[in-house]
Amino acid sequence: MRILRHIRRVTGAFLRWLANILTGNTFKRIDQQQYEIKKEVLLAKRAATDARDLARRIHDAQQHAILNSYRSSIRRDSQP
Amino acid sequence: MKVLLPFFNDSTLMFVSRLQPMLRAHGFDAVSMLLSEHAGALTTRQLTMSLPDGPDMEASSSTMLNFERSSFDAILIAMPQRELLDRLSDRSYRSRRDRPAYIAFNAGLEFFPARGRKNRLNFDIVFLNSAVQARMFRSDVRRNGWQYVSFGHPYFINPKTIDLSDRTDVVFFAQSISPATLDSRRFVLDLMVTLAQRHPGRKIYFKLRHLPGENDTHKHKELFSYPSMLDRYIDEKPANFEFTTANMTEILSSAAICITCTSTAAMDAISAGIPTLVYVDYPENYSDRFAKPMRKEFAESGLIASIADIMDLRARRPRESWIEPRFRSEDLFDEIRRAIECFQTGEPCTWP
Repeated sequence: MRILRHIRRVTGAFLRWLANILTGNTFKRIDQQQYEIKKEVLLAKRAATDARDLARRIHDAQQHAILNSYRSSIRRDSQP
Repeated sequence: MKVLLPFFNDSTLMFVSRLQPMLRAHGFDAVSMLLSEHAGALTTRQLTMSLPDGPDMEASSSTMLNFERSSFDAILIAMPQRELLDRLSDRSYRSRRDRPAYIAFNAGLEFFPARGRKNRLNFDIVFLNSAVQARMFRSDVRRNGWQYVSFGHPYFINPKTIDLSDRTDVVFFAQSISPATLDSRRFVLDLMVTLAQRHPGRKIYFKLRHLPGENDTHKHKELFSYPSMLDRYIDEKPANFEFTTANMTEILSSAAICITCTSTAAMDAISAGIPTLVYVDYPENYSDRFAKPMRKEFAESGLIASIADIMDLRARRPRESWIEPRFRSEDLFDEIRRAIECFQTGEPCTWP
């Protein structure tokens, strides 16, 4: 009996796997996983680009702010 | 020893006008030559400013490439052109010994050294900007036939020690395409105008690479000229701020401090013994392909400056460890002579 149960279990698993293949479910799952991975990579790249752009804007703003502070102090000093 | 110095644009004209008196002072018969097919690339002002007596001769590239050794012992090239590179890639021409030796220098600071090395592969004598570049060239290149590789540049002669106590002028050296964007160029102009306002007792000279309308055929064509930006964006020009197009020798003879973003003039200033500042942090520097290599080149020099350094004129001299592999003593000219002699006899050349 135990042997028969084992055979039934293995056969059932095989048939389920075969059914999945035939219906394309397994491949669909793989496609879905690849899609998720690609999406994550794209999102990470976009985040990196945003971070780089933000760092650049901060750098530019800093340079402008430093120069403006010198200009303001010159204007202040030149006022009577 | 007779050497030919061809030029065809303002970069090579500057190179020739600086190199010619140096070579003559070291006993060479140095002849400047304008490549006739490019005669329209330079204005009379540019020519007479650099070579007041004009070029010694004018001829086409093909004439130059047909000179024999009886005419010239060597031809010194700062910017190799396609026609010359094609000629030098011809093995049968290279193997001739009755032709002049072709000597390659970099035109100034080399921001893309791999490309610079590639363009100089087939020259007989190659002088690169630093000892590291020369080593890399030797390890990269396996050329058949005679070749001598070393380092040195006529602008990069060991810094002089000069008395600056009676000088007050500050000079900013501009470039045509660096900084690259309108905003970044406007910022740099603002920076120099503010510097002039902060130091009314000093004269601030803004040295232009060329006047608006010049260098229209140069590969580095200026899109945003500083004089037109001054008219448009600056309300009031300080009395001590001035644009200049005077030649390098004249400017360096009165400068107390030199500032630049990415100009080779930094090396001229260092060589002349003038404290120098290199500012590469301008806004939108990421859009300028020269900013990053300039920062890399000067990273170890101690000359990279902030706005605060510029405003307080905290100019300095470069570190010795940075100077040593880049600057040469005037024995560079003896080495050039020795290399030409070796080329003519076909012996391997060693120096010193």
